[in-house]
Amino acid sequence: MTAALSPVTAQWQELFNLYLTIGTIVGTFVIALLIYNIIRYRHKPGSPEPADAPTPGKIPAERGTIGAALILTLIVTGILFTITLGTMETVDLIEKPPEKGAMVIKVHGFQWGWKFIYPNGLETVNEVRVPRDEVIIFAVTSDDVFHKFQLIEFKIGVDAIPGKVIWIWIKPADTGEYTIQCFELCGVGHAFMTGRLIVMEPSEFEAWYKG
Amino acid sequence: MMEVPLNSVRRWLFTTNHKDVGILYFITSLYFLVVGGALAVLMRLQLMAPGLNILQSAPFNQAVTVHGLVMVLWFLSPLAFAFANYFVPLQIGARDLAFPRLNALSYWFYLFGGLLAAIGFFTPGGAIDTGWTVYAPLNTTKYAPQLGVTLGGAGLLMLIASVTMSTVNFLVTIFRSRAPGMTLLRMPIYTWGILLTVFMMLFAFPSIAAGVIMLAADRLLGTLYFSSVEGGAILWDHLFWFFGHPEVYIVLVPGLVAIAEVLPVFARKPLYGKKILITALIIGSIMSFMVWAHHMFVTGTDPGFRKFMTITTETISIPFGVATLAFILTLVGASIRFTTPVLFALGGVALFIIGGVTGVFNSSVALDYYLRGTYWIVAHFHYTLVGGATTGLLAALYYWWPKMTGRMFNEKLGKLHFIVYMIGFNLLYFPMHFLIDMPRRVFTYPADMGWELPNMLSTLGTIIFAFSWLILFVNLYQSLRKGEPAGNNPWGAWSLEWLVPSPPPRHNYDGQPVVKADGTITIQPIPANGGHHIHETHYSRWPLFMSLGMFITFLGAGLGLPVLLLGALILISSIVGWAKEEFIAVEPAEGERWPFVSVERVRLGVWTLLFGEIVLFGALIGSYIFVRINSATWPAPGEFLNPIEGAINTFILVTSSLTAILALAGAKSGNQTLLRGGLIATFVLGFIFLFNKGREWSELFSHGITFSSGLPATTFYITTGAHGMHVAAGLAVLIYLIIRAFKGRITKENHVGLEGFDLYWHFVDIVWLFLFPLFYLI
Ligand code: HEM
Ligand SMILES: [Cu+2]
Ligand SMILES: [Cu+2]
Repeated sequence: MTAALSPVTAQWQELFNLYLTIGTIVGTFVIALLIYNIIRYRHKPGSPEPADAPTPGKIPAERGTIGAALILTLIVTGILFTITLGTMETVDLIEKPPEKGAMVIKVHGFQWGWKFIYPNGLETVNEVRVPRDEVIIFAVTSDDVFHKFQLIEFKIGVDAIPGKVIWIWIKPADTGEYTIQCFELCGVGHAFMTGRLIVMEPSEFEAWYKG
Repeated sequence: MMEVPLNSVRRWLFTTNHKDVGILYFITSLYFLVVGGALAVLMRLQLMAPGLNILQSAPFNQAVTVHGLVMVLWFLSPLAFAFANYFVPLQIGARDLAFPRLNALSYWFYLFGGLLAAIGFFTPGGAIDTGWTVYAPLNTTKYAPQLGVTLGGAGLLMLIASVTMSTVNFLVTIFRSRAPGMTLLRMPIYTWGILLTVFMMLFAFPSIAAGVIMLAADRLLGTLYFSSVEGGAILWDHLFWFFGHPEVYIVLVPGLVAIAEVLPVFARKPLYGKKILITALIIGSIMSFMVWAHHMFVTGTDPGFRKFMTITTETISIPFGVATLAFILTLVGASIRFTTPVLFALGGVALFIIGGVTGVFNSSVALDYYLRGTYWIVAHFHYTLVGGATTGLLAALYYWWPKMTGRMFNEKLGKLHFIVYMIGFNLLYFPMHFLIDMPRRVFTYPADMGWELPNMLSTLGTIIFAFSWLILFVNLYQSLRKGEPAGNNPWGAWSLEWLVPSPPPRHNYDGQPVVKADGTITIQPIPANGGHHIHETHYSRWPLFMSLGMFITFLGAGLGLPVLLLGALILISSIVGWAKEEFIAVEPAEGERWPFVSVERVRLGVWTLLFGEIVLFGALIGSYIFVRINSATWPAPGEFLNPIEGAINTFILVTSSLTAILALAGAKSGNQTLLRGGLIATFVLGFIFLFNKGREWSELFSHGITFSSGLPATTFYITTGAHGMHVAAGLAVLIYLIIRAFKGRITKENHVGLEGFDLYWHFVDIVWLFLFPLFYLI
C-alpha cells in the first residue's frame, strides 16, 4: 500500500481522499440538481409560457435577491474552508522534516538525467540508494533548465531550478525500487528523464555506502 | 473615401465594419481550431499505446507547444471576440465600434501573428518547442537556438499588440456608444462578460509583453535576463503567470457569459440573479490578479506567500461556484425548449462543474506538490477550457448563427453533434484523471506503469470528438447553401440584435435605438436632416497593409536586413497613408456614458492605453528590482552611469512636458503662434534627450559595456531603451501634429489629437522620473 510508504505520502493520500470525497459529493449533488431541474422544467406540449418569459424588445425583469446570493456564497465558502484547513496541516508536514541531523542528498537535474551527491561525496547518476525507516532530505537543484524531481510512488515532487535549492524529505517504510521521473518539459530528452530510488535495509545500505 | 462592392474580395480585405470583422475572426479562429486540433490528434495517436513512433520527441514538443498556444490565443479567445465584434455594438445599440480602423488592424495583427508562430514548422529546427508556457531558461538561445522560437515570440508580440488595440476599442465603445437608456446594468450579459474580459486583458497582457520583449532582447541582442540565475526561471515564472492566470479567466469568462446569454432565452425565464452574477464575475476578475503564484507552488517561493496564494485561489472558486448555481437556479420554474444552443449551454455547465471540482484540488499547495506537471492537470484544464468555455461558445455559435447568416441550421444534425461531442469529450478527457502518475508533455511512456488503458480510451475519445466537429462543419455548410430563412427573431429573444433583420444591415439600425425607463426598447427614426450614418466609412486599405508591413519586418528579424527594410518601408508608408486618410467614424451625439460622461472618445482611448503602459513599465521596472535584489553585487551609483548627465537630461525632458502644455494652451485659446512654438520646442527638447541618450550609449559601448556585460548593463539598456522607443514614437506623432498645426488644422474646437499626445507625453516623462533615480542614483 503506497500510502504507508512515508509520513508525507500517507498525509498526501489522506488529503487527496478528503478532497476526492467532498469533491465527488458536491460535484454529484450539483450535477444531479442540474439534471433534476432540466427534467422537471422541460417544456411540455401545451404548458404555458412562464409569466416573465423574455419578450422581444423588453429588458427582462430582475430575478434573485441579495439574501439568495449570501446563502449561495456561504454554502460554497463553508465547503472550501473545511478542506483548506486540511491543506495547511499537510503543507507544514511536507515542509518541516521532523528530525535534525538527517541525511541530506543533493540532487542535480540535468539534460537529461539526475545526479545524486551524498554527504560523503559519493556521486551516482539516475539511481539513488537510501536506508529504510530513516529521514532522507533531497536538496534539489538544476544544472541547466527547469525540471521537476518527482517520486511517483511517494506522491511528492519539487521543481529543479538553476540557482535555487528546494528541499523535500521522505522516510521510506518499505524496501524496494521506486520511480523517479521529470515532470517539467525540459527538451527532447524529457520523456526519458527517469531514475530509480532504491530503499535498502539499513545494514545493507551501511555496507554499500561505506564500501 | 473608398466604396467597395459587397460581393468582392476587396470587401473582406479592406473592411472596417464590425460585423465583417467579426466574421473574419469567426472563420480565422475556426481555421486555427483545425490547426490546433490536427496537432492534438497527432499527439493522441502517438500516445495511444506505449512506444509508438508517429511523432518523435522533437516534433511532439513542437506540436504540444503550438497546440497550446494556438488553442488558447488563436482559437478560443478570438472565437469569443468574433461574437464580441459582431454583437457588442448591436447589443448596446451602437453603429460600430469606437475605432473601426483600429478594429480591422487588430484582426490583421492577430492573423499575421498566428502565421508567424506557425511558419516556424517550415524553418530548420522547427517551430517553438518550449511548451506554451515558454519556461526559462529553456527558452534561451543556449537551449533553444532555432529560429522557430524567435518567430513564436514575434507572433506573440503581434498578438499582444492586437489584443491591446481590441481592449482599447471595446472599453471605449462600451463606455461611450451605448444607446440612450442602455445603462450599464441593462446591458446583456454577454456584453458584460466582454467588458470584464477586456479589463483583465488590459492588465494581464502587458506583463507577458514585457516578458517577451526581454526574451527577444536576450535572443537577439544577447542580454541576460533569462540566462542568468538572478533572473532566469523565477523571473519568467512571475511575468508569465501574472499574465497566465488572468488569461485562463480571459478565455473562460466569455464562455460562461455565453451560457448565461443563451440559457434564459430557451428556458423562457430571466437569468437568475443577473446582478449577483455580475458581482461574482467582477470579484473573480479582480482576484484573478492575486492568484498567479499558485502556478509556482513548488518553485520554492516563500511559505507565507504560498499559503496566501492558496487562500486567494480557494476564494476565487467562490464566485465561480456562485455563477454555476445561478445558472442552475435560472431553470427553476422554466419551460425549457431543447434546441441545439441550449443543449450546449447545459452541457457546458455540467462539464464546467467537473473542471471546477478538480480545480479546487490544484489550489491546495499540499496536493499540488505532486499534481503539478501530471496528466491530472491536463484533464482539469481541458474540462474548464474545452468543457466550459468552448462548449459555451458553441452554444453561442448555434444561437447567433441564424442572426449572422440569415439562415437556420439543421436541428437534427445539431442534436447529433451535441451527443457525439459529449461522448467524445468525456471519453477523451475523463480517463486522464486516472493518469495522475503520468507526466504531461512526454511523447511516450513505458509499458509497465499501468497507463495503457486510460491512454487508449482517451485516443478513442479523440477520434469521436474530432468527428463531432465534422458534423458541425457539415451542418454550417448545408445551412449556408439551403438553410431555412431565419427571420428577425427565431428564438424569441429579447436583446437588441434580434430587433433587426438577419443579417443586420451595414449600419445596424434604421434609426436610433432607445431604451425607455420601463425597459421597452424602440428604434426611433432619425429626423431627415440628422441622418449622419450615410457618410460613415466602412473600408480602409491601411490596416491590412500596416499589418503586412509589421509581419515582413518581423520576418526580416530572422531573414536579414533587406527583408527587414522592405517591411519597415511598407509599415511606415501605411502609417502615413492611415494618417492622411479621411475616415469618418460615428461619434454618437447622445447616449449612456456613465461614468465617463464628459470624456471624449480619443481621450478615453489614450487613458486606456496608458493603463496598459503602466503595467508594461511596472513589469520592466519590477524585473530590474527583482534581478537587483537577487544579485550579490551591483555597481555603486556613478560607477558606470553619470548622474550629472542623467540629471541634465531629466531636466530637458521635464521642460518638454511644460512646452507641450503651452502648445495645448495655445490650441485652446486659439493662439496659433504659441501652439506652433510649443510643438516645435517640445520636439527639439525631446530630440536632444534622445540624442544625449544615444551619446551615453555609444560611450558605454566604447568602454566595452555591451548588452551582455552583466545584469546592470542588461537592465539599464532594455528598460531605458524601451523608454527611449516611447520618446521616439512620441516624436513621430509630433511631426504629424506640427504638420497639422502649420496647415491650420489644430483649432480651438478641434484639438483632441493634441490632447491625447499631451497625456501620452506626460506619461513618458513620468516614467523617466522613476527610471532616473532607480538607475543613476541608487
Ligand atoms: C481536439 C481536441 C483536443 C485534444 C485531443 C487535445 C489534446 C491535448 C494533448 C494531448 C495535450 C498534451 C498534454 C501535455 O502533454 O501537455 C494538450 C495540451 C494542451 N491543450 Fe489540448 N486538446 C484539445 C483541445 C484543446 C482546446 C480546445 C484547447 C483550448 C483551450 C486546448 C488547450 C491545451 C493546452 C493549453 C495544452 C497545454 C500545452 C502545453 O502544456 O504546452 N486543447 N491537449
Ligand atoms: Cu523534463
Ligand atoms: Cu492559475
